[in-house]
Amino acid sequence: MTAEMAILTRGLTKMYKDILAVNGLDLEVRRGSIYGFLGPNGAGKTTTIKLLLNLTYPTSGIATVLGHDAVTESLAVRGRVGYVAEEPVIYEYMRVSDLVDFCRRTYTNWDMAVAGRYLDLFELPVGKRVKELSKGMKNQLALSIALGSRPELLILDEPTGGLDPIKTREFFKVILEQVAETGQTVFFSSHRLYEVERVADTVGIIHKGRLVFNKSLDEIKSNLKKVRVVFNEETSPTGLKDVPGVNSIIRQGRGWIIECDGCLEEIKAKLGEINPVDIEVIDMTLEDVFTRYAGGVGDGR
Amino acid sequence: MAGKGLWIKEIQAGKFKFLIGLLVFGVVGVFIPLTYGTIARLMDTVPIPAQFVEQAKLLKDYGFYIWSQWFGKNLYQFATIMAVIFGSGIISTEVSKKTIQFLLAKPIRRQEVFMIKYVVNYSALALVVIISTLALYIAVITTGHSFPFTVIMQNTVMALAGSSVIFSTSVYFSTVFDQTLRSVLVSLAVALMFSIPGLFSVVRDFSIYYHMSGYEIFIGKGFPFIPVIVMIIVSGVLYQMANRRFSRRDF
Repeated sequence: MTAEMAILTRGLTKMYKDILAVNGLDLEVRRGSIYGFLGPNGAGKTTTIKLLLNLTYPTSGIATVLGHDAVTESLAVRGRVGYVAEEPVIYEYMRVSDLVDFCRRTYTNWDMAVAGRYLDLFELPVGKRVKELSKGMKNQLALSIALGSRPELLILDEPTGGLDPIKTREFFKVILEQVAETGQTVFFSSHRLYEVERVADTVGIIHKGRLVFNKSLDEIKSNLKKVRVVFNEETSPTGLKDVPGVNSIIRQGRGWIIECDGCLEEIKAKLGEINPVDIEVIDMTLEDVFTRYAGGVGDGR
Repeated sequence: MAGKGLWIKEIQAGKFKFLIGLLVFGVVGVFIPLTYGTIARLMDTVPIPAQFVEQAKLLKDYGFYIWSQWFGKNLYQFATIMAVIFGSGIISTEVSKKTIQFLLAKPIRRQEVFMIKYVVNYSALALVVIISTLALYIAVITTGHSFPFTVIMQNTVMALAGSSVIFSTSVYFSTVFDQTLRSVLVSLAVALMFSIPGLFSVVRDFSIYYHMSGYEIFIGKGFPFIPVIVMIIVSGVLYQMANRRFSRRDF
């Protein structure tokens, strides 16, 4: 189980004084996947990442990254993980070339050709100091450095915060190409639903420190449906709430919205028995999922 | 291997502090022997109040002049300030500038990060002390005077041992406070408190600055091994405390 997981946590908990930042998190990220870690601000995304990299110590629970314990074998973890922080803060006084040199000497698996390729691709001026770069260029530099260490797992914490849509697109294009080429695992946190929907193959939603949703995008598309049903008379479909897979039944105007997970045919059959005027099946979007599980405070589309 | 980049990074990051320290110390070190003639002439020409006549006579003694102006005053005062400046920011600057996460996400043990930062910064401080004292000695020789080199060496050891205590104290506060300014201010306050025993002759032996000045060496009481050993042990304990705190805290 551990071997096929890039990230595995069990009961991972982090308490800061009286604030429960991560609350018994059970997370599984398969190797080779692109995992979008969604959650509203303050949900525990960054703390989870810090726990994985041993920047912060867990209060309880365990985390393994690439088969290594995140606390006791942290050095092995950090040698195989590339990390881009939210608004990456890099040594401002250094020249880009000095920074690359620093990283080259730090990682045993450093690949100058890979780092150089991305520095060229982003047209980063190696002779300039980091403080002279724009915010977008700093993000690109952080990504180039992260990829230069040829990581088996790339952890990105809100990597495109503050980037314009073109830079964001470019950023993820590079990641997708890199993943296609190397089969790396990517774990990235975000509160931008469109970003996750476009890039990730699996989505987890963290809310108040707990993982409240975890599915592949394929599963979301094929299983999660909204059924909008309208009746002529005062008929209610609330009797369906006991059907396994029905998540909610909500009145909306003259109709009802039934949210279901993998039980569409059964719902249709049951509805057929109570003579609806109209039945419409709608695919649930990630925004719908997010709204349902995290209270809908993401950036939406 | 992994720490090699950090050694170079720390040396690069500290080079301006080192050069400024060296410039200030070096100028003062050279200035003291060069101004002896002027000071001695002033003693002869300017009327000296009766209560300062004895001190003036002492200052005319070349050996006393060099010791009192360098080891007995400027060196330990500057070394204390430099120790606070070099030590107070080694962790807190990384935290306040938010670069600590970038650094600690690299495959280097926290203990190694701490050790490299400590060694590079203390070495810079020690080099400033040693080079500026050598500059003073060269200035003594080139102006046609002499001063026992063994006394120079022994006094330098005392200054280094004392400054290591101040430096380690500052490093400890650097792991406590996230703002470098706060770390500097608290370290300076503690450094000031260290001077209190020196004000009372009964407890003068507990004063770091008394030992840093090398007074006992100068008056011929020999090299004070016990205070040196105690200061090294105190520095070691402070190093361990700071290292432990840094290794176990959340960032």
